Amino acid sequence: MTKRLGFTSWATGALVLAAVAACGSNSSDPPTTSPASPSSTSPRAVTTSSSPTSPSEVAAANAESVVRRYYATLDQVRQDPTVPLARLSRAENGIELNADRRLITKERQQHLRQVGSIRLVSVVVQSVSLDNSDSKGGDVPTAQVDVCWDVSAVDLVDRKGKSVVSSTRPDQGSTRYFVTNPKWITHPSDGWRVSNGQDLKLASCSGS
Amino acid sequence: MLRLIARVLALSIVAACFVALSATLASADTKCQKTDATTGTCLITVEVPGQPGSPGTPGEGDPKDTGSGAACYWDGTSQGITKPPPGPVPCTSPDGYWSNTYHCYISAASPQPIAGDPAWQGHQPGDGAVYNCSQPQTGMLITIWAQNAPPNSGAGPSPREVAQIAIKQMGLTAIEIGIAPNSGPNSIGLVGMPVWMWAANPNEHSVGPITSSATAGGITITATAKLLHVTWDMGDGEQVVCKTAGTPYRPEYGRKDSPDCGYTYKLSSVREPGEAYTVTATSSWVITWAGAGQTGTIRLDGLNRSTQIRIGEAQVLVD
Repeated sequence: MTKRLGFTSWATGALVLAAVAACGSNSSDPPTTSPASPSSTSPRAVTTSSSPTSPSEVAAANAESVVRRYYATLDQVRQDPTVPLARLSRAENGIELNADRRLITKERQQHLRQVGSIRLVSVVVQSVSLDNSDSKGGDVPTAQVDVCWDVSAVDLVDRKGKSVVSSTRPDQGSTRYFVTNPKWITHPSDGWRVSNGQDLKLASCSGS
Repeated sequence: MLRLIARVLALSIVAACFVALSATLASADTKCQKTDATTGTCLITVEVPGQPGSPGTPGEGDPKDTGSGAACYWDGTSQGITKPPPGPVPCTSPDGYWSNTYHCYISAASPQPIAGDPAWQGHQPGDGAVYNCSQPQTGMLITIWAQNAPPNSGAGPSPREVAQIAIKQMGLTAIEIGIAPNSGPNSIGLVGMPVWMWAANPNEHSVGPITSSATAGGITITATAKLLHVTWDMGDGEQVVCKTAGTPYRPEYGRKDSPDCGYTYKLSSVREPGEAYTVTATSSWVITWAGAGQTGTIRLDGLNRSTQIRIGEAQVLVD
């Protein structure tokens, strides 16, 4: 599994790094959103850091971490119906939490459970903004994280063990996550949560 | 092989749900924002709202007037969703308030998504708001951007109230009285002679049936009005209930009784005001309505019209 931390930034700024192409990109992908930051930044060469030092690097590492925790938590909750749904809130909030909670509640009502775990082929932080100037207005520290995932070893089965998954389900795909930290002031490290997701139109994680 | 069959079945279900969801929101621009990796089905749908196709006194044995119906309803049939079947839903839930327009519970996303989040549909925070559209019938979550909050159907009209709009559109009227002997100054009937009553110049507004539809508050109701009967107050203390529009009298019928709506006076009208009986025809309507996954009945009585006829006694001279 690759781990690419594709960003650099100036101290207070946010930046967009589209150079890392672990998941590739095409014209139909959603545009990378420039964060509304009070300070401008310039794209710079991609760097990989195993020991982040700047606030943005730390934030990116935390954002990536919560995305991985998000997938692990989803696996747990969908594999074991006794795991409380409240656990989801450790890794997600907002629209994403609402959607996942709804989906899994429905699956549990139908006695469906997941078998196997989602494999993360790549996790790439595309941008980070630490702008926290207007939390009520939507300006909270944000990271966009692209994930290429593989579900070839994952199934959803009913109580008799029969698969209910469509034969046309793609085994691989990519998703861009909007990761936010609305508790930046009090929880700069562990306040990050996956808030929303958006499909990236890639056939596979071939770039990995 | 079993797994393959299961997958094909599951595909059919998933496809039906997807088609249904797509159709549900067909009036607006919709797309899947995020696919659930495990199932391959849409987890989060986004939508920019367009203009979505933006309810007497009965006699014994007669159809009874039913209630108002539920203002909040689920109906996925037109979109191919038959389970759950159409029917009322609570107007509020932990997921918010019900919208008949969107067929889901609405609540403002809290917190609102960050600037640049796809849920904003290109708008900026502060420009309208992002709403969660939760559909417990399908387990789907749809995110909606809207300038103003979608209408709360619980605060909107009931199906009965919408049906009453449709009824008003029908322009129902009292029947135009046809009666023999007629009410002219030179006409007089006789005690013991048959009186014929009927609806003159009948049309759909006076004798039905007539159908009309109305839409309000995201509810479309189709109502059909049928004339149940006409109650004739003959002015002498007697009433005749005719379940038909009656048969117009023709001179060639002579002294025959009306086959379906007639009367015979026993006393002359000489002691009545103006020396005439006041005859009043009151229509009783039954309106059945359907829509919003519900049906109901409305009774409408009270449309009436009056006329006066003179009844005399024949004098026989005996030597």
